[in-house]
Amino acid sequence: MDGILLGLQVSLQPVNLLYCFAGVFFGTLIGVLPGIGPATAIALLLPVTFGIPTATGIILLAGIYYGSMYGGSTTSILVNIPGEAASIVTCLDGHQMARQGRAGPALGIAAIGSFLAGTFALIVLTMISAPLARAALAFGAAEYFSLMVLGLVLIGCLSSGSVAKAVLTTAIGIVLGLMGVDTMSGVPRFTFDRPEFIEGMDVITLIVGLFGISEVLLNIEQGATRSIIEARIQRILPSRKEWRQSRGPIARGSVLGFLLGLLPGGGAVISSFASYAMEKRLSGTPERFGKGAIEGVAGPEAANNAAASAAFIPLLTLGIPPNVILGILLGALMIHGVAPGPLMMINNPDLFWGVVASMYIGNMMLLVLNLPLIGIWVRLLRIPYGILFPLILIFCVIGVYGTTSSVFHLYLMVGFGVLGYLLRKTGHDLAPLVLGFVLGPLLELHLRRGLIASDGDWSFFATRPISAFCLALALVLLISSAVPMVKRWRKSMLVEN
Amino acid sequence: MFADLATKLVWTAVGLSVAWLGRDLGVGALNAPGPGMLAFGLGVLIATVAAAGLAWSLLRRPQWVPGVPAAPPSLRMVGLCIGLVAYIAALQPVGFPLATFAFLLLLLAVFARLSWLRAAGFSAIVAAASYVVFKFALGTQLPAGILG
Repeated sequence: MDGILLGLQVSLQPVNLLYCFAGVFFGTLIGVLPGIGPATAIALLLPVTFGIPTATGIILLAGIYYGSMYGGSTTSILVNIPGEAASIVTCLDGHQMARQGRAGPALGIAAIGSFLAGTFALIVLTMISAPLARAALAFGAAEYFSLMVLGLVLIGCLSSGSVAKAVLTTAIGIVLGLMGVDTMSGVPRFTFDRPEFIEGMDVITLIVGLFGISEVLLNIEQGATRSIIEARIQRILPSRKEWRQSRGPIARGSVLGFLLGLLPGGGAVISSFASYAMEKRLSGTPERFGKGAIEGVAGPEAANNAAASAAFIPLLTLGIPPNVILGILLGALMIHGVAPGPLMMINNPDLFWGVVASMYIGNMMLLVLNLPLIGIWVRLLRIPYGILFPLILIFCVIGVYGTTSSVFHLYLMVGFGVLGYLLRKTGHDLAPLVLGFVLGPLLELHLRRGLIASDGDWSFFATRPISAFCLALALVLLISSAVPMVKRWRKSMLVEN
Repeated sequence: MFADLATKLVWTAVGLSVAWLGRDLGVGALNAPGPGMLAFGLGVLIATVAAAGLAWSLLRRPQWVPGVPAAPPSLRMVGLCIGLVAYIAALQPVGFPLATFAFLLLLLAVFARLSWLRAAGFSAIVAAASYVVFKFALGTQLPAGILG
C-alpha cells in the first residue's frame, strides 16, 4: 500500500500526467496506424527521454506499449487489418460485427474489456511484485541463465517461422548482443576495428532498421490496399444483452492473459489466441464464432491487455523482459542507469511504483480516449500509405541520428532494414533475433558466472531446482515442437514482431 | 528451392565465421570461460543447424524440380533504398531541412502520386515542422547544413 501511495505521488505530478497522456495517445495512434509498431515507436521516442527524468521517460514509453494494445483493435474491427499483432484475433469477429452495423459495440466492448482487464492485472501486479522480488533475491546465476534460456526457447517455439529458423535468428541475435568490449575481460569483440562498435551495437539502430525500415520495404513491395467500414458509427456502448455475453469472457480473458503475460516468451499475442480458443470451446454456440460473436472480441481484447500489464512483472522484478517490446524498455532503463531486477524496488522505489501507478492512470485515460475519439481514429485510417511511409522513414532517420549523431549508424539502419526484409521474405521471424540481442549479454554474464562459481561443472545448472525445471521445460518445448501435431498448431499461431 | 538452398548456405557460412571469430577471441576453459566461448558455441550451433537443413533439402530429391523463381525485388523498392541512402549521404552536408524536403518531395510525387506542387507544399511543411519540433522542442541534434 505504501508503495502504491508513493507511486501515486510520482505519477500524479503534472509533468508525469502530461507524459502519461502523451504516451497513451501516441500508443493508441501507433496501434491504429498500420506500418509502425510499438517496438519501432518506442525505439524512436527513446532519445526524447534522455532530457527528462527517468520515471517520466519510462511512463511515456510504457504508455505507448499498452496504448498500442488499445489502438490495434480499432483497425482490426474497422479495416480487418490488425494495427498490432495482438489484435489479429479481433479481426475474426470484430470485423464481422462491423459489417453487420455493430462496429460501435465492438469498439466499445474492446475498450471496456481492455480497461477492466488492465486494471485487474495492475491490482495483482501491485500485490505480488514485492513478494516476487523478495523471492528473486535468492536467484543466482543458474536461475537467471535458465529463465532466459526458457524465454528464448518459448519465443522461438511460438515464432511464425520454423523452429530451426528461430534457433538461427536467436543465435545471431545473441552474437549481435555480444558486440563491443567484453565487461569481464576488456577484450573488444566483433568490433571490426570500428570505433562505433566499441560500446556494442546500438539497440535503436537495430530495432528501427529491422522493424521500421523492413516493414516499409515489405509494404511497398506488397502494395496492400484496405477498405474501411464507411458506415457511421452509432452507439458505442454495448447493449445489456451484449454486456451479459461479454462479462464472462472478459473475466476469463483477464486471468488467462495475466498468467500468460508473466511467462518469458509469452505475451499479448499468445494470450489473445488462447482466449479466443477458450471462449469458442466454452461457448454453447461455437458456430457463431467467426460470424460476429461479441465474445470473440471481449475475451481476446481483455487477454491481450492483461498480458501487456502482467509483462511488466518479470521486467521490473527480475530484470528479464518477456517480450521484444519490453526488451527495448529494458534497454531504455539501462541507458538511464537503472538496473531492473529485485533490487529496483529498494534502490528506485519512486521509479518502480511511479511506473505502476501511472499504468492505473493510463488505463483510465485510454478508456476516455478510445470511446469519444473513435471518429478521429477512423479519419486517420484513411491516410494513404503512400503519404504515411515517407513520414515513417523520416522519423526513423530522426530517431537513429538523434541518438547516435552518426551517419554511419544511419547506413547501418538501412542495412538492418534490408536484412530484416530478407529474413522475413525467407520465412524468419524477427522477434527471436531481437530478444536474443537484448538478453544475450545478460545470458552470457550469468553463464560465465555460473561456470566460474561451479569451477566448470555444467551440472550446476541442472542441480538447482528452479534452474533444472526451466531447462527441462525448454528441452521439452524444443522436442515437442518437432511433433507433427504441435507443428500444425504452431502454424495457426503468430508471434508479434 | 534455390532461394532456400542459398539461405541455408549463407547461414552455414555465417555460423562458421562466427565460430572462427569466437575461437580467435579465446574460448578459455570451463572454469574460466573466455570472451569467445559463447560466440564459438553459437557459431557451431548456427553452422550445424544450417548445414543439417542444407543436407536435408539436398536429400529431398523428389522436390528438386525447377519451379517458378522467386520474384526479384521490385524496382520501386530498390529505388526507395537508393533514395534513402542518397538522403542519408546528403543529411550532414546539405542539412536536415533541405535534405528532408527533397526526399519527401520525391517520395510523395512517385509513391503517393501527388502533384509536384502539392508534394512540395506538404514536404516543406513536414520538413520545417519536424526540424522545429525535434531540434528546438525536444532537443534532438539534427544538422542544419547549409542553412546553419
